[in-house]
Amino acid sequence: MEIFQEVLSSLSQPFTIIYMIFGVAAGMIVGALPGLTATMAIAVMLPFTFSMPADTALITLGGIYIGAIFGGCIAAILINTPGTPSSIATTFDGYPMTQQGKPDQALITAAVSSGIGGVIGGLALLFLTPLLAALALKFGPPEFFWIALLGLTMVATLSAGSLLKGLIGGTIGLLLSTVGLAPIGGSSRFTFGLSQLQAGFELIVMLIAFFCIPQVIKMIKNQTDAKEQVEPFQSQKGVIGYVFKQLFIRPFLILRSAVIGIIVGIIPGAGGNVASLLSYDATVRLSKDQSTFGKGDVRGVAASEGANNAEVGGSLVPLLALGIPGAPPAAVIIGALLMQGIQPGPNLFEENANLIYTFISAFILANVVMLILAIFGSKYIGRVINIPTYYLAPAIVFLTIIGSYAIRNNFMDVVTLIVFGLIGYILAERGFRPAPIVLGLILGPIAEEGLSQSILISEGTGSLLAMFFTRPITVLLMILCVLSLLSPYLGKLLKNQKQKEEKEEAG
Amino acid sequence: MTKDTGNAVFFIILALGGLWSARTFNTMSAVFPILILGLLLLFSIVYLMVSLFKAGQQEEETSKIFSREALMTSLGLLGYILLIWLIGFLLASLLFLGIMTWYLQGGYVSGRKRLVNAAGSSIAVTVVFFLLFRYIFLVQLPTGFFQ
Repeated sequence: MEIFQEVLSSLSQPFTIIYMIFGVAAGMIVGALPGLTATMAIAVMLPFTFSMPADTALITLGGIYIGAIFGGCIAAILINTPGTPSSIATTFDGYPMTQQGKPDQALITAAVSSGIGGVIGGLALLFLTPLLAALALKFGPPEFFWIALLGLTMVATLSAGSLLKGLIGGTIGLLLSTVGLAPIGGSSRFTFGLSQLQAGFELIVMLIAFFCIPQVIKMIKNQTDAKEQVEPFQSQKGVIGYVFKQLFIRPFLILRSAVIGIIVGIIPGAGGNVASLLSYDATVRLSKDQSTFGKGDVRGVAASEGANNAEVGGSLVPLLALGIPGAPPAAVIIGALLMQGIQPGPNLFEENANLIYTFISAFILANVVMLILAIFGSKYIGRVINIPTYYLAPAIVFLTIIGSYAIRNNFMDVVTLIVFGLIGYILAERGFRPAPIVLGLILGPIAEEGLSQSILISEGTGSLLAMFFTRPITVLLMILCVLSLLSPYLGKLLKNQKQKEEKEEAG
Repeated sequence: MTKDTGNAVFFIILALGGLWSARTFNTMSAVFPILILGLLLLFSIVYLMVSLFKAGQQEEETSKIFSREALMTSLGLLGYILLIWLIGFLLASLLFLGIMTWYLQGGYVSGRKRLVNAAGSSIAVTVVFFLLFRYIFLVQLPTGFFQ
């Protein structure tokens, strides 16, 4: 009861609420700029929170984190470029909705699912922290390897059209992820003597390169083609009601996405991008009608955004319970806690219970703030697509260049952006979609570390095969991999059988 | 040779080249790349066989990859990074945005208005974001030879 009163007292301070709203709004703006991540937004704001009381500082940073993860969907929906890596899967259906003149519908769907997903993530943070953190500790290198393989089976869903091209795209992405110094072994791989490549390719730069540059070239190419024009945006009445109705008749959609997001968030090293891709994949596979995915289906946007905002709560679970960040932005929040003289870890709930419960309550409230800001702001944000291509295209290039450079202050990243952007354009025109390539890039390091560490551990234990094929979680993940690979074919088989039966009955 | 056959041959060469490079890595550094390159080689061979099988069955559409607009944009992008390296981010961006906006307005806007639009958008976008990144996010943007 005492804690409850303390939490209420902290949250009723006007300045705390103002800072929270400011944090969410600032996070949304930064997240919407391609190249600027939630990690960067929190890192930039970190020094400003030093003089604040601990609760206000944490609430402001939590608000920025939530706002930035949502903000990433704005660029994903409007210009087909994920503002943050967490929004990759949002581009699949979000941008086609914009092309159909429905950006406000896509943005409101993203806002509602992000808000609900975020609140569920916050509740998980509140109630499941000790339980789920213990589960995460059972994940070792072989489990991470299988998690990465499970992610790679999504190529079957993402390749849309040619599975073979999707598989080649996926391996190209995996290959690109090996450039630079080997994480275990230390050899310099595929750097061609360039010292700037020793650290490997920056994931965000590659994301922008494969998603944005080909899109800009296509936009300019199609400027005069009437068939390829994006429908102009006109604010319509009743969109909010329509979106709520669409989502509430499918309650399991957001719930499932949120659960996936929380689980992925708890596993250290995975992150919002993996969460949104896994959730999108699960939604496509479990849907009866899969034909509309990738063509502007609200379920695709809801699945991605519900998961990535729930992942924020999930990623804070191991941070608060064990002092291990579940995602890069959570690592910066550890810095904020340490700056305030608070040591994250098992004793945190005993030593700073008031502060932590205030932070978690504010976290849930910040998701509601984000929902309100996003719903009322979407009709203004959506007008971006009415800007003529001759203003929009050069401005997008400018933003991607400045965003890519700002990540590490490295000019090589700008060169990488343009070179791989042009390669991405040629590959896209030849039928190799960017999603499987990017999937390989994201999952490559997780798979490689899992494989290499397992090999090293097996030198001590004696059996590599036993590590990969006999541990309970690896067996479960293996079964999921096989099911995931076979599910499109099983689905087709069942569909054909059902059609055959219906024909026989009719005949 | 069809486009798909060309792609498959390219990926086979890429995989073989990668495997050749990987022979110099130590064991722990080589395991994963060799696994990936092996898979790439396998998929590319299957792709080559499928493309050869399909080659005679259907007629190919003419490639539109290198249209005039696509080439101009690609050259513009390469020119932009060269300019950033030479004269720094601020001046290069003013030039790139101005020239691209002027070029893309062709057929839509003409005369003095075309020039005013190009200059206005170039100055507004560059200055706003330059100030934002330089003084709020404290990013040291490239200065080229004007260091």
